Amino acid sequence: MTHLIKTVMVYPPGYVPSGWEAPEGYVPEGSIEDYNLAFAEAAPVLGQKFQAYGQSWEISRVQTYVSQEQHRHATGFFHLAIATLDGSVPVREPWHDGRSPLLVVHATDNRELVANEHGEPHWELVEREEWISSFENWEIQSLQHLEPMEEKTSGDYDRVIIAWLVSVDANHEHPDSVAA
Amino acid sequence: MKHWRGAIALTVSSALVAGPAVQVRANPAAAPAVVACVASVGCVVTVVAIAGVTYWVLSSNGEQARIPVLTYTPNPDQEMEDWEDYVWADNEQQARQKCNLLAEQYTQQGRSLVSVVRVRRASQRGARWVCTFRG
Repeated sequence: MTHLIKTVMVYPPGYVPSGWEAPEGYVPEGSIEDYNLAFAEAAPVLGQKFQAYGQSWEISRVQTYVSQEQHRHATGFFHLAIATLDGSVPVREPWHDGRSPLLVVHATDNRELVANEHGEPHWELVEREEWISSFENWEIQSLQHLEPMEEKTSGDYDRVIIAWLVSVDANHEHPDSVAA
Repeated sequence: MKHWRGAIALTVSSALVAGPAVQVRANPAAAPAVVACVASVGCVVTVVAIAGVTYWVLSSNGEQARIPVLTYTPNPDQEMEDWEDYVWADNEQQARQKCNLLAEQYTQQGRSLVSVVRVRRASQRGARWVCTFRG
């Protein structure tokens, strides 16, 4: 069973990490977050440590979303893995209007994540399922819905939706993808 | 309907979209103050509902200003289009909130309801986010 993991790296409040693009004089209003998205063969584990952006991180919270649908791609679980530098559980900002958005991820038939213009996995927050769209020369073959297994807390998504794409023309190379 | 916000506004696509649209009776005093707050570092915009009335709350240097928001009237015949604009934010929650604040400004300026369709990060690693609007 394949797992899709979105890792959220939460910096201490007010801290601006090096290499982080922002306008001159930018002062964080809260905690800056970095994100990573990838397929994996195993679920993230509390206390698991890893290196990213020149820092040592520790996973302090995992919210798992499960698919109730029998899907041929067999991505049965999505995990939101929250990591901090000191292993503490951060208080993430709540969604300001009290409504959680949908997290939408686009993937191709080969179980590859679609890349954005920077070569990073593309993901987006979408307000309504009917507003999910595809890319030029690709169409959505199916939508896979994943629901949170536990009660949602601050910053969790209403649902996670994987939009599985198929090419409408095998000669087209767009969109770029990120290997699983 | 075109929407412009300084030099960074960008119309990326145009489409007819099914579904109800609305017209708005805006508070004309709200837009400039909210625009100025969103654009300035250290000023925070929130929305609160008090006794059934929704207000912008602009907070800066310990001071707060409260401005009533909007009321709407449906207009089912309106054409809709999508466009993009950018915000600076620390994280995805803040980005979505700022996109919604811009949508409120567009709503006031255009006198028709503008919704946030999607929010995504615009830079590989940084504070720039793209909001896609529909209105």
